[in-house]
Amino acid sequence: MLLEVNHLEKIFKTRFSKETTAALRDIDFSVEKSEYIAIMGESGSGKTTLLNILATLEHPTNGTVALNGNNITNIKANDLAKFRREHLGFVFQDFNLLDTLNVRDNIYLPLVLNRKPVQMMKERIGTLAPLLNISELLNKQPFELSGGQKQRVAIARALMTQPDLILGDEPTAALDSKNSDRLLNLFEQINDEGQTILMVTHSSVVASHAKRVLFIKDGMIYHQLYRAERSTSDFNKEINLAMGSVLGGN
Amino acid sequence: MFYLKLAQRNIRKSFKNFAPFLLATMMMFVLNFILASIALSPQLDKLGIKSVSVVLIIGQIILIPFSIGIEIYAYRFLLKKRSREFGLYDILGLGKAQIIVVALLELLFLLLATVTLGTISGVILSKFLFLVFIALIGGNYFNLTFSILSFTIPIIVALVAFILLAVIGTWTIHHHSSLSLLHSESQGEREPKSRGFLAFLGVLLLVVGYYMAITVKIGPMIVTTFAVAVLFVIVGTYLFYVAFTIWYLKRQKRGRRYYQPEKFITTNALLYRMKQNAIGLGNITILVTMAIVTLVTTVMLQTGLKQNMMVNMPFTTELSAMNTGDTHVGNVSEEQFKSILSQTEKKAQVSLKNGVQYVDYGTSMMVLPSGKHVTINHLTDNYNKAGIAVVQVVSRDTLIKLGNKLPKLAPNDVLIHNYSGHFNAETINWFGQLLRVKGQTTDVKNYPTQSSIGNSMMIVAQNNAQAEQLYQRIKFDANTIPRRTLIINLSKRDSKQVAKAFKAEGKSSVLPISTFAVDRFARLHEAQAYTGGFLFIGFTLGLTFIIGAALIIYYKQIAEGEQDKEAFRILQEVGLSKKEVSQTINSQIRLLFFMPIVVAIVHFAGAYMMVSKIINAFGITNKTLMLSVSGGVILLIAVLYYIIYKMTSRSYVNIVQRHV
Repeated sequence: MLLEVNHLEKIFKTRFSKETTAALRDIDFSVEKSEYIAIMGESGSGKTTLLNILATLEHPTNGTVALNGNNITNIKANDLAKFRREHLGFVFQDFNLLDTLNVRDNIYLPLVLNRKPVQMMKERIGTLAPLLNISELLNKQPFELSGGQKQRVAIARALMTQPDLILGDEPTAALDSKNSDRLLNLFEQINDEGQTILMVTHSSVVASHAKRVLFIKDGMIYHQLYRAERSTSDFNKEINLAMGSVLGGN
Repeated sequence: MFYLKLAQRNIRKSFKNFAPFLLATMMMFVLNFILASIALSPQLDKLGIKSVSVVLIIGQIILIPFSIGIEIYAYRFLLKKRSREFGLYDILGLGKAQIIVVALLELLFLLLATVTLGTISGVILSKFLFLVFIALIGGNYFNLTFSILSFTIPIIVALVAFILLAVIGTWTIHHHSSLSLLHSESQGEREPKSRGFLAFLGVLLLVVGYYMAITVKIGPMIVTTFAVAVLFVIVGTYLFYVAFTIWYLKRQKRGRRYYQPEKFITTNALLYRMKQNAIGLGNITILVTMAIVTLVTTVMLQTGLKQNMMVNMPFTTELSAMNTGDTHVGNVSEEQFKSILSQTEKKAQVSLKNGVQYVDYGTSMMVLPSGKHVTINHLTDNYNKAGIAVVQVVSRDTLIKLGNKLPKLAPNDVLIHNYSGHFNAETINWFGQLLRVKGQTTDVKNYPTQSSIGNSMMIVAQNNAQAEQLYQRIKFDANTIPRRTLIINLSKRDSKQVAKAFKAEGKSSVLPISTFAVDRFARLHEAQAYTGGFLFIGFTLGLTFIIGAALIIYYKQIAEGEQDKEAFRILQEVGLSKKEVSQTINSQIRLLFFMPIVVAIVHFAGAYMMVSKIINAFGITNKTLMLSVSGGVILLIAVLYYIIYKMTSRSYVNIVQRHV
């Protein structure tokens, strides 16, 4: 089992009052290697909090998260950064590219932080750039790229370290539908080559590209669907159906 | 009314954005105010140092475009931060004209705040510095007064700056579409294209500026030359920073160690904002240089004049008498002098037994030819003649009495002592008398000297009779009448009494004799009033410059912190630990902050000759003192600078570091 989430709970306290809000209550699920999982929920459902905890950017109030059998919720603050850059890859909604670096250096960044040899960076970018169709962009600055191009660069950056798990936070939110489709196909392709992906989204279209969808509402997982051999459009319909019945949406 | 309210509300609501801008404009106002107050102080005229006021006015002329430049930099940073808000107004349908009105009203409020707060803090700061100074030196030597003009100058400068800012603001809002206003926060600078040319021009200006500063000659052109040299160096500094930073960073990028986390992030972050950085660094460098020059000059004047006095007056009390008879029948006789002294002893109740008596033949101006066998046969008073020097004749006996060790001399043998200059003839035809130079004495102690700007030397004659003879050869110069002199070390009280009694004795004498008394204690006291004023000026300006530099550094830190915040957030999410973040920041800041102090020291080295010439004009020629004062001042400023750097870099780290 690659990732095991046990009885995860996150309670936020407001600073000056005793009021508490439970963002997550008793979340339980596990992810196997090479899975492609979408966690679906409306805004306020707790999906971003869940992702932040998986990304070690936030601490849970209760419960554990284990990656490859190691509990990552009690990694010391000093080692968190190292853990993130060695085991996780991030694809953010707003790309999070550094304006000061050109595209190539943005992609190199995680390996530079890991103090890996330049030779390794060159080799990996050599296979990733054609795959993501960004070979022509390597010497440009981020502000010269379109949204779709930026997101492909961000994916290349996430893949550079060959992470155990790629975490995506609404990765298509800032893209138009055409670019969004291309990106989702790309995710599937990467996943077919064995990369484990976990992303959160509120869009059934996006979720329908995943192999499994977890539905989250009010901080709890209510339901899950496997795609199996269905087409994305069939799966999309079923997801919408499930949303309607199980989550009581729209 | 609505716009007025909106503008008011904007400033109140996002005061965090406005505060650094206000700080910058206020700081510039205070700088201009303090400089103007001192430059226009009537006290400067009273001190008889009009030239200082000219230099200060030049400083003011440099400071004005400089402060306007800083205000523009601050305003553009503010605009960048606010453009998202303006874009939003535009989209919500406020219209550009109205947005411009709001922006201008905001500027008006800020101008009012600048003038009010600037005046208050300017007065408080200068009064505070004044008090600190009095506490340090223990006396009030410079009466700090504010004239109307010292208020008007900074107000006019602020007004001009704000009009420019209004133009810039109007232009920026007018020429940007709503969308680009919305997004303009995240745009990098383009690299200047012709940086080879920039580098060349920068170095050229620096070299020319340095050359002018080093080769400058005392004369009516010195102030103009000084101003031009300073201008060249300032422009050269900015260009140098732009070109050098790019060159250095590009080289880093090519280097093998580029793909190390610290270098990787730092190099690119710096390259991203090099023009901004260059100007910031240039400003800091110039302020630090100004602080060093001001402090060195004034501390030198203070310590140098005092030291000079101790050298020129090795004894506390100097009593002398000369014959004022129409026909210059000769020196005051030994008997006459003795009787005046004994009268003085009686009156003052102080013994003068331990004093040393001799005849002081005064000094004469003459042209010293170079060569081994020279002829000196006329006096001159034309200071602009080449080879002009101040010459005095002293008897060997006098110097021996004062404790000097000198070789024995035959008649017509002399020793030469160069105070300054390099006179090294072997024979001198001294107004028709042939003298053989037996050698040079390197060190003459305890003999009262007259310091002078140009070259000066002493001719040591075999004995009193020989000295008298050498003097007689030039005695047609009516300006130098020999004085019979007694020098002695006394207590402060005795010295005062003796000087008073001795002077009175001359006045009451029936003989055609004038008496002169110099009391070193009184002289030192007078000089202190003069140099103390200088020191106060240097102290205030030096500190003001340092405060100016500190505020620019602080401003730069927070401005960049805001800009780098996003980058460091991303870096930390991608996997840069807190420790690594601070390492990266430190290596970035280190380069930025130690470069100015190094360049400022180099600038000061370039200005060294100029500064020492200015100080020479006050008769201070002590080179080792100049070196140690310079070293001390540089050390002090480096320490202050380091403290500022430590304090402000904390504010940068606080801004960029992610709080989990």
